[in-house]
Amino acid sequence: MSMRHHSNNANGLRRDKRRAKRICNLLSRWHTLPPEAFFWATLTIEGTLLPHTLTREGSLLNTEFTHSTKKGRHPREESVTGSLPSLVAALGAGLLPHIPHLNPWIPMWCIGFWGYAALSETRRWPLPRMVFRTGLTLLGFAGVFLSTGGIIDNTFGASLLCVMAGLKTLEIRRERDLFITIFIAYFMVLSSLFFSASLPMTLYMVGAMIHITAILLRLHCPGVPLKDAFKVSGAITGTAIPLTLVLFFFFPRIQGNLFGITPRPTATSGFSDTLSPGSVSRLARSDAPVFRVTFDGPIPPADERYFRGIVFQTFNGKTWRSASQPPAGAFIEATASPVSYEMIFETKNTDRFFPLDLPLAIPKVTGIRADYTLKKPTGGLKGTAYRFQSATAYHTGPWTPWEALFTLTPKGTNPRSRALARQWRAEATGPEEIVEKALRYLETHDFLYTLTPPTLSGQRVDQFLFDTRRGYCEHYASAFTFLMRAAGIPARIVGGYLGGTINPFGDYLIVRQADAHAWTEVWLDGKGWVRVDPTSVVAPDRVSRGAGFGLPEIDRPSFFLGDRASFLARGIDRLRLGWDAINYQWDSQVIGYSDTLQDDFLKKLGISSRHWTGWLKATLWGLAFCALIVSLAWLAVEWRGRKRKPRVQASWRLFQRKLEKQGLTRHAATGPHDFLERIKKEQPHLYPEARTITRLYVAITYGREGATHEKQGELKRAVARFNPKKLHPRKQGWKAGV
Amino acid sequence: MKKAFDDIINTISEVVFGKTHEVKLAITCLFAGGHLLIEDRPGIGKTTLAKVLSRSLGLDFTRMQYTSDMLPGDLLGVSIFDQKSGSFVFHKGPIFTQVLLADEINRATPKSQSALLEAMEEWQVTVEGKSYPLAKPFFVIATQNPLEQSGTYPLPESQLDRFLMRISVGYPDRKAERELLEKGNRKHVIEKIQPVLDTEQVMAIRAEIAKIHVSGSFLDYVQDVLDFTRNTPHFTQGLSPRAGLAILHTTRSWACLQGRDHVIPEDLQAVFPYIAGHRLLSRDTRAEYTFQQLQNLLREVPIP
Repeated sequence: MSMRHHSNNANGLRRDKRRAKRICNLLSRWHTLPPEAFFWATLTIEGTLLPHTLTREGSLLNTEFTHSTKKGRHPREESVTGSLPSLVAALGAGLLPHIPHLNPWIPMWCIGFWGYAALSETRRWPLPRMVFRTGLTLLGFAGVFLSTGGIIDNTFGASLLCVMAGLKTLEIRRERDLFITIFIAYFMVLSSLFFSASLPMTLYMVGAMIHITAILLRLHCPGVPLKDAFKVSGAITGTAIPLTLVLFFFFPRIQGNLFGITPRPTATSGFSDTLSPGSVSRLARSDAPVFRVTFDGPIPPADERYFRGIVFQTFNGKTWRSASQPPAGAFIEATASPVSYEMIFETKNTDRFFPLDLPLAIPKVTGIRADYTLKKPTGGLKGTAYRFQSATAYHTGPWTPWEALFTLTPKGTNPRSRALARQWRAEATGPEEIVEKALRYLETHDFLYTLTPPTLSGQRVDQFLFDTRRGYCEHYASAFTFLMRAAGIPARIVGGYLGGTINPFGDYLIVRQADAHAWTEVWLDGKGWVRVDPTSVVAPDRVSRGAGFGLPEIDRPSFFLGDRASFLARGIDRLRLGWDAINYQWDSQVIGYSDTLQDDFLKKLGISSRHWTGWLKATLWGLAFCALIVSLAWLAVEWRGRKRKPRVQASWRLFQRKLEKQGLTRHAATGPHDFLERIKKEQPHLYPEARTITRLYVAITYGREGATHEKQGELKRAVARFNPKKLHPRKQGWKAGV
Repeated sequence: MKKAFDDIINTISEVVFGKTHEVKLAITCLFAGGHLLIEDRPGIGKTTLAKVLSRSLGLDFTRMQYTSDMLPGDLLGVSIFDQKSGSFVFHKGPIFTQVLLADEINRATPKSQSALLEAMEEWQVTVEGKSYPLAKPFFVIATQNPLEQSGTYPLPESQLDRFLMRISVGYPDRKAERELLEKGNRKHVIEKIQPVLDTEQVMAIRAEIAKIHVSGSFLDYVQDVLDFTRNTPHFTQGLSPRAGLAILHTTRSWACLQGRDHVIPEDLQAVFPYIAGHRLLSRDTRAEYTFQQLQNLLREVPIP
């Protein structure tokens, strides 16, 4: 009988394996799917199909041995009872970090099923049958497809994992189900790394790992107090730290992404490829950080911190566009010493770098274009540290034919502006003077810098320049550029960020969306492209002091701290900056530890990753590091042992080693006096000295005075002097009594 | 102090031949402030030992023979109505003494046994709601016949725990027995024994013993031994904290008897079987270990 069951089970397992393999093959050949789909699908198979087959096997065994139970409804095993609430606690720790990016129905689904499973034991509620469970699984699949819109990405995978984790609790019957569920919980915690690796998240993950391990411990040894379980799991996690560090520093960093998963580029929250009135002021109300910059030298003053990101080329009377791809390569001649700095981008989906002014040295992942912008079409700038070198004073070289693009204006639009430009051109002696005139015009004609300008329509530049005269930087940049082009000077709008907040903790610059800015560059003979910021004449505070300062009181964003901010607001701001500094360190030192940084670090140790000997060296370094840790731990233990009776025990042991060579071994449970008696009986010639030593030892260890310094020294000397070999046993015979 | 001890031992040895070790243990127990249980056959010399001990220390001595029809009142005393005064007057029982020999304690019913054991623990007697303190020092030497004899009520383990030590006197060796046989009845000698100490001196020595130095290393050893009895598979139950204190008191007293002002592991090893013998049961046989077995088991605990 039992033989047949065995073969049945083996067949079943083989069949399930075959099926899983087939699905894997099918998925791997499905080229149209992105790579992460394969990854997540494999996980789904592991997470849902495997436990199913295992439990089915288990239930097969159960039915065949106990005929009374009905198929599909088996009571939980003895070992499972009482463990469901702690399992739910473990799964909950896994679900928590996923909640922000899950559709709200999924946490509800999980909590509902977990609650049912946890209560089903005491309330004697039935567990659903196989058919019903399958139905629920399909329902869950459908729900995930609907709520994610069928796009297979990280969110899809996380949703599926959580949905299946919700269902898993309904089929926990055997002991192995418990452990599988625990591993699902581990996996849920780990998979949240696909979404965030920030410092709080990492700390949470360590906490969750300890929590889940403690629950696993309690499942293995029921009745262990919770406190002890946490202690042990904390110790286990603690022991893993040295290995983690070694792996962190030495394990080969893979360029790019381990699973080939890249975030899907979606609509950016920063600059888009078009610029129209409102597209910069829209950003001004957001204090989300865009990037952080650490300068090698001193931080340049606020009005020199122009971070260039995008150049708008064509104007259709309504919108500026940056549509066409400029040719690769650019000419820059720095006329002052360049500035070196490191940037870490914060925005998830940005595909543009925002270097300071004109970049001289750039990261190898990107290439410079003729308009001096840097783009990384694949996106994914977030989290990595990039090094740049920029010129703040420069010459951009001779005119190139491509740049004729920057002289075009839409025909027949804005006649009043054109007329003004023509008038300036007639009056002026050179382009510099035209620029001067235009700036003075903006300065003197009662223009207002505001976040809430009136809406423009029709001849928008004319309307702005002559009627409304209220606008944010994009209005000024747009009007100024149009005037310049109309006056025959090549000009373009540049979008980017200006200013930023210096974080006093850590001395770096935070640039937020609110620092978004648009300005103009004009081409002057003999100078090349020159930056002209029309906002600087309308709202000088915006340029010299930062975003928010140039605006009228009523327009300022809620997070803006003016000169009259209360001490409370200042305090909170300082707290925020401090927290930001901690996170920035984490991002730049830990998350930003990339393959290049690893290369640099390893080169300092004399290891080159280019050749296999480098890795051999790295392994040796790793081993040396481990040995160091182990020996430090050993030393710590030894030191703690010595601290109590540092010299006494050592002397006593030495004394015994000396006696051992004479064939006198003290049993561990023999007291010093009894041992002395034995010496007296067996080797009386050693007795006098042994007595001195023993008495000293007893006086130190058990006596009233305890271990005084003198006595310890005395004992040490006595033991050092003690040399049993030189003491000859008294010969019996003719020499006796001599 | 060593001299006082030697004097006592010599005095007792005049009457009790060849039992120096047992005499030492009995003195140790007395000065440790505990009570002694002697388990042996009749006619071995238990009564003589108790009597001589009390006389040489200058303490009052009462002997109480336990029988199966004995009542607690026979031991503690009773209140009797006094017609002259018209009130109840408490007549103190034999327990109001300094050395009480409770002979054949396991012959009495549990009720009478517990009356004595309660007095031993509380150092006082409560009759009809009134408490009467006992004399100081109060030292009980209970004797017990081996349990295989018929007509006995064995003391429960919880009550055994109240005896600090349990010893067995055993037959005298050949030489001692010859001496005993030659010298004949020693009753008149006992009457003539001059006390070596008096009550105050006994109490003073007890106070001295309490000051005997116990080092941290020794306490480590005591704890290791306690852990050993609790965590190894040899015993049904480990030693209680009360037993731990008993070890401490006894080793102090023993060390004093050896003329030392500090306790060493050998002290523990010397007295351990007598303290633990009636407190530990073998897990395998559910029986008590012999002294030799206990000594061997103690060899498994290394001295720290």
